Amino acid sequence: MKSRHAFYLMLPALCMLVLIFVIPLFFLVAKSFQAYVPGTLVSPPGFTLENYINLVSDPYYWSVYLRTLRISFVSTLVILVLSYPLSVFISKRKARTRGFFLTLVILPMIGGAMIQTMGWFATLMRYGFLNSVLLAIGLISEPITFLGTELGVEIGLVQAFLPMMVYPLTSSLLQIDRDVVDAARTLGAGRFTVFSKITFPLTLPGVAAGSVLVFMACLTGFVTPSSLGQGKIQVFGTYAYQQAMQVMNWPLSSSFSIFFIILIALASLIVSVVCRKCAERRGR
Amino acid sequence: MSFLEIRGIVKDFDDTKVLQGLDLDVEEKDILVLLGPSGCGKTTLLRIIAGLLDPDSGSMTLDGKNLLEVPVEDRGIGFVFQKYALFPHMNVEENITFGLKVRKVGKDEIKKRLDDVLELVELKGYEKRKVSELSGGQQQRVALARALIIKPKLMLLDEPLSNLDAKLRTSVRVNIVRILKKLGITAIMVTHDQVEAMTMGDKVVLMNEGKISQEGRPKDIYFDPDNLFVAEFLGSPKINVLKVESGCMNGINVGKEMLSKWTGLDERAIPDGTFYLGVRPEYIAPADDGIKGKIEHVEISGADTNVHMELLGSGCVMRVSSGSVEYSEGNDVAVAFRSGSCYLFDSSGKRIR
Ligand SMILES: Nc1ncnc2c1ncn2[C@@H]1O[C@H](COP(=O)(O)OP(=O)(O)OP(=O)(O)O)[C@@H](O)[C@H]1O
Ligand SMILES: [Mg+2]
Repeated sequence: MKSRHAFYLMLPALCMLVLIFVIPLFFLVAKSFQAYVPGTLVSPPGFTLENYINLVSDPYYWSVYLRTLRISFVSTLVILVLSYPLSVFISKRKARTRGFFLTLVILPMIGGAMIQTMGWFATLMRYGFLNSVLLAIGLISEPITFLGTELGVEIGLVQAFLPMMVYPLTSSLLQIDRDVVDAARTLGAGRFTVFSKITFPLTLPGVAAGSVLVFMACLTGFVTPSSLGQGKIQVFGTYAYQQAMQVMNWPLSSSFSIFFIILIALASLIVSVVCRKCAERRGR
Repeated sequence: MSFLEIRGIVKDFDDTKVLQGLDLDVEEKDILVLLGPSGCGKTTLLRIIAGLLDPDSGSMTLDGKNLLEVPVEDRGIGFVFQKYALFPHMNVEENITFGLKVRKVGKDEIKKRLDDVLELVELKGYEKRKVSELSGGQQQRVALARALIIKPKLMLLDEPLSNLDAKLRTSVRVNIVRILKKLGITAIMVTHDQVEAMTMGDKVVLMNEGKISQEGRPKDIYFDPDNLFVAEFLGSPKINVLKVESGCMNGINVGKEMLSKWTGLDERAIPDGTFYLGVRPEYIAPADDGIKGKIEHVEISGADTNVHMELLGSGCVMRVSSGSVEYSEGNDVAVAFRSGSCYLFDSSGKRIR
């Protein structure tokens, strides 16, 4: 009886889920096995593997995959390196100050992607803020081209997805028992050894969780690469968008999406297995 | 000069004054037990000695060397934490040998010392176990072994037994003392438990409000308290404290002659104003021609029986052997204080001798 009530209560949410997730996914899969006829969205009947064969055989696609992976990897690494000290700093604050800093970190995300992108335009333009500063202090003699380069996209991604790393990292740092760190120090470990042998290993689950979140966000990112890349940096998100909205090649962009969904599912599976192994080793 | 000499340590946390000019001496190879109410600064003191906290002022020397100049990792002081603080991502062996590995001790030496210490704490065969798969008592021994293996000059133990059940406590207590004595390690141990303090310590130090209230051999501290705080802290049930105002207790006259007999003090030493009389429950015994009282409540705690009664206008506890005489609530009783066994404290709580 009770579970029947629960089912009815879940019904609206379930309908929503089917409507916005399951049905589109079904169409996506179906479309990806249809042939593309230029100039129309209607595909001839029949089943074809052509899209998928193209995906793996066309060297141009491989360059898109590699670029996407490269940009995502670099951005994730930079985010990790930047957010670790930041998270250590935040985790050492008293509860109230900690809340303040965490809010500060997430604030840009609340502001929306467009505002951030505008900000980056002003900063990264040929004679924008960053180049002016670098020129003024004499670090460079010629302005650096950021917009329309991988570097520019990476800078944007790092800023956009940093909070996704800071949150899990801070939380795993906060879980470390202060006495455990102190015990290591009384046993003769200097600050560096404490970090490499105690703190860092104990935050590995946080590092893994944060890295996966950020990596996936980078893989599928669209706004940042399309705006800061200015159409010159073709990654998965921008290419799928271009094929779907400009070329109207829905079958291809569908198969492209399916391909990435599978890739991401695999990646998260691997990471969750690794995390579980980690946790087992720690005996949780 | 003592092995460990602590002088005038002051430590404040923001606006809480924790340690207020604390002095302490520990002799080599002694086990010193720190006893005191919760929040009096015991852990803070241990952390300062270990170097995990810096004092605001004061000095400390260990074996003649100024400790405050030495960073934590070079002090060579073993610390056993209340909740053990084992490294959760390492197994038993990795936990125990951590202190040797960071010091880059050779493989053979590590192996040898690991064997020795495992034998000492009786954990042979558990080397590869995850620490989360150990019982509380075993985790406690890993923590002990981990601190012992670095051959510490001084061992600090912060309530090492408080997470163990009552039965295990006794055996672990005996074991810790045996090990420390066998290795001749100087140790400071914090505890809440007075039985632990009395049985484990060569010297007991009672702390209160960031200062040392009294220090001495366990026997002295129990039988010869310096002040009311110490007298009340030790002993179970607690010492009876009766207020004497110009020769009267709650309006009942008690002459100086009587007080002199109870306390063994000269009549001239007994003050006139307000002061306190302390009588331990075990020094009250039934006596036919004694002070009359009324039994309020009887508690049998095994071999002993605590008789709560109203005596001289206040509540009083008498401790007698169970079974000898039947006591029942509401009955009248006549008791006497054993001669020369009571203490007098002045109105500020200081012992009158
Ligand atoms: N890091 C800190 N910041 C602020 N106050 C602290 C800090 N550590 C301890 N205190 C305060 O200092 C006082 C002494 O603490 P401490 O832990 O030394 O007490 P303790 O004697 O060990 O008590 P217990 O027997 O409960 O363990 C307490 O009032 C505590 O609230
Ligand atoms: Mg404490």
